[in-house]
Amino acid sequence: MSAAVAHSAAESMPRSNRMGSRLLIFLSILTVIGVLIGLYLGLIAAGTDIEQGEVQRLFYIHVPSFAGAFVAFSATVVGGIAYLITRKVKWDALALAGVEIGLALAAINLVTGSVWARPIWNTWWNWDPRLTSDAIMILTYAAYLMLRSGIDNVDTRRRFASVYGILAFSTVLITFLIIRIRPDTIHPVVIGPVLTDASMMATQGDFELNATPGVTSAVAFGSAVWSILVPWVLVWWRIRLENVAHRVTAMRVKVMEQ
Amino acid sequence: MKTTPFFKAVLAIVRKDLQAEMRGRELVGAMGVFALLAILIFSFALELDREARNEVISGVLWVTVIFSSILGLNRSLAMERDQGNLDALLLAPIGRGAVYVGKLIGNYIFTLAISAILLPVMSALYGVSLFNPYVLLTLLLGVLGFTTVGTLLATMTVQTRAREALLPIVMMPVALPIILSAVRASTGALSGASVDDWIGWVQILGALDAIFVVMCFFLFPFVVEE
Amino acid sequence: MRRLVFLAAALLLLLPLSIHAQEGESTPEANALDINANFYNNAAGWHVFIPSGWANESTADYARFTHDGRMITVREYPGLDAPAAAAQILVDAGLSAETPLDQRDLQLSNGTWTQFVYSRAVVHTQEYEGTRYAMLYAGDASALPVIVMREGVLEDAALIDDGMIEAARLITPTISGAATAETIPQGTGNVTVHTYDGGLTAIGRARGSSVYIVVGSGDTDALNSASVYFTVLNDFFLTPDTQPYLFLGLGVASAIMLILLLSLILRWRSLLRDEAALRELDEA
Repeated sequence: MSAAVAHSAAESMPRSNRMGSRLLIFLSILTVIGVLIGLYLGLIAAGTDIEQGEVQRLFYIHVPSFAGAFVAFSATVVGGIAYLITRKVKWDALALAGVEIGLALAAINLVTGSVWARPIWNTWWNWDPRLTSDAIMILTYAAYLMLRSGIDNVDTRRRFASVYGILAFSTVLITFLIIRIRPDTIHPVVIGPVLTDASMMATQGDFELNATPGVTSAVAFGSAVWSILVPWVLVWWRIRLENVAHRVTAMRVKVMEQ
Repeated sequence: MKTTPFFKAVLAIVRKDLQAEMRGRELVGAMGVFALLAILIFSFALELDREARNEVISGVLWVTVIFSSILGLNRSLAMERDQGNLDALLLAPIGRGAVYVGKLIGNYIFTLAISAILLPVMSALYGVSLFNPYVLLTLLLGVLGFTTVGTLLATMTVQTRAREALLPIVMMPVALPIILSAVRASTGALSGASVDDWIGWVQILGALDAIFVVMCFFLFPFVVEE
Repeated sequence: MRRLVFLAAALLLLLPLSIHAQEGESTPEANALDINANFYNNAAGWHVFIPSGWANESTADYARFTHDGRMITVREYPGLDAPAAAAQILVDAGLSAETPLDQRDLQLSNGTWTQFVYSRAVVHTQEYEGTRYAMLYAGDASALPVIVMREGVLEDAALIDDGMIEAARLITPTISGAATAETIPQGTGNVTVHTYDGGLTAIGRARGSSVYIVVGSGDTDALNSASVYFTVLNDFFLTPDTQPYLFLGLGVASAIMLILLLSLILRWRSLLRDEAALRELDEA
């Protein structure tokens, strides 16, 4: 986000929001630094994976971006529930922001996985349970945006979007849990133990984490940055954008009435 | 205002839907004709040998059931809305939950009726007997799962601008886990593989049904506020 | 109600933390491969299996395992062709240079190897992206590990005998056939044991489209102990060059992030423009 836009936005905002703007800009800078450190740890500091070569480094983006998408989609659920209870517009703005940011992060997760699979599995895509459920998840949130754009009445739109946002989270949970429900997936297990014999793991492109120095710190740091800073800062910016949109709409109504 | 007891209200709504259907046969008629056309098109499009048929038949069955169910859901809720029934139901002294369960049971019965027509017809056309107790169980569970999601989402989409066009788009991704496990379970049951190999899918199906029924029951009141 | 919402939000925030905690605990369990049993040359990008019971005398540059007067060594020679690399690894291992008894190409699961058989040593070498990798087995004349290609050997057991006789002829060219032949079930398959006139013994086993043979003047135990070289050879693993895919993935990921940011900025700009226009209208 360019500083100029942020500045002009901050200027046109009430005094009470100034503090928030400063905090947001500070957090944005922190996020950029965090992401850069994460990339340094993953792309330069960590050793090359001996079985997969350089492409394994995509893992340092692939895993953290799913963590970020998970947090963003969780924000949609929280926003949806809170909107249905309180009917405050700000909660709907949180839900919408969660979907947009979550979709971008999930797309990053999907394409890095696909590019990684090309040299390791020798295919861009296969209908493995986890890949399938990930694609379903992305389609579900794309449908969320279509549903929103299909409703004219703003209150109905927010109500329906909240309901759908809560329902859609089931696909996120399925994507996350399917590896335990369907152990026949060839997707490597990154989180949690799984029982496979050594030869299978070697052919499926598992990560020899211990053989490569610096992996654990790179993954832990990357996931922390991508699951806390990245989604929340982006969601906050998106909410800001929504607030500006509300202000413009209100002003438009006012001008029309004159 | 005194509300009618839950089950009495549910029964009344189901009875109303069934009676309207008996008189007009608008829903089951349209769904049935669509389903028969679909399986005919499938059998022309997939000119299959016997072995290949065994593998795809449960997929064909489910795709047909789902699309005719979407057709039925759209019609059912659109009729309610166009004739002002939905508003009348909501004004009546009955709980929103009862309205949902009533509509759900109605749609469930209609889709099961279509499946009941499809099973013998497909068994005859494809030469594969579908009357397997596990296939029937999967049908009962799978149809329950997606009519649960479908009734909630159709109530939403009939109130939107795009109406009929929007339901498949919003419903398919959410219902896909149900459809996937239903297809896998019935393929497993028909393939003659040992029960342990695919019974997991039936269990997943049951768990998904439970989750969606609870979620949709509590979310429904929010989609019918006026 | 408000408190409940905050509680839910707090719980959801904790979820990713619990995920990371779980990951930290389970990494050793998930990693069932015994990586201590491998020698890694991270700089050159290859690794080999260390046979159990063998002493590991490797340095950073090469792998060297010794046991009972036998030696297996693996190293890379940039720019050398196959005969030059084979001659060089002999010298580097402290053996005297000699003319190979036999030279042939082998198609194995981990690449195309050229095999050189010497009187007391065997060298396998392959080239991958400009670098030549060589593996040496050195011992005495009691056991030499040799591979012979035989297409369809898994279906036709006669091809094993045929291949083993060919291998024995490399050492004693006058051999015409096996004096005794015996098949012993071992592990998941059979091992064939031949004895030849003149005190030569051979053990052979089929794998893929090749026959793996150890031949020499020693007894079956000596031959069996030399056969561990084949495990090292088959587990030799070269790290593939996948860097272009890393750049592609990074590029696409940054493109998506850039599109998101750009869309946010553009929408913001247009809203501010609208706002300014509306304010003018309002004041007019």
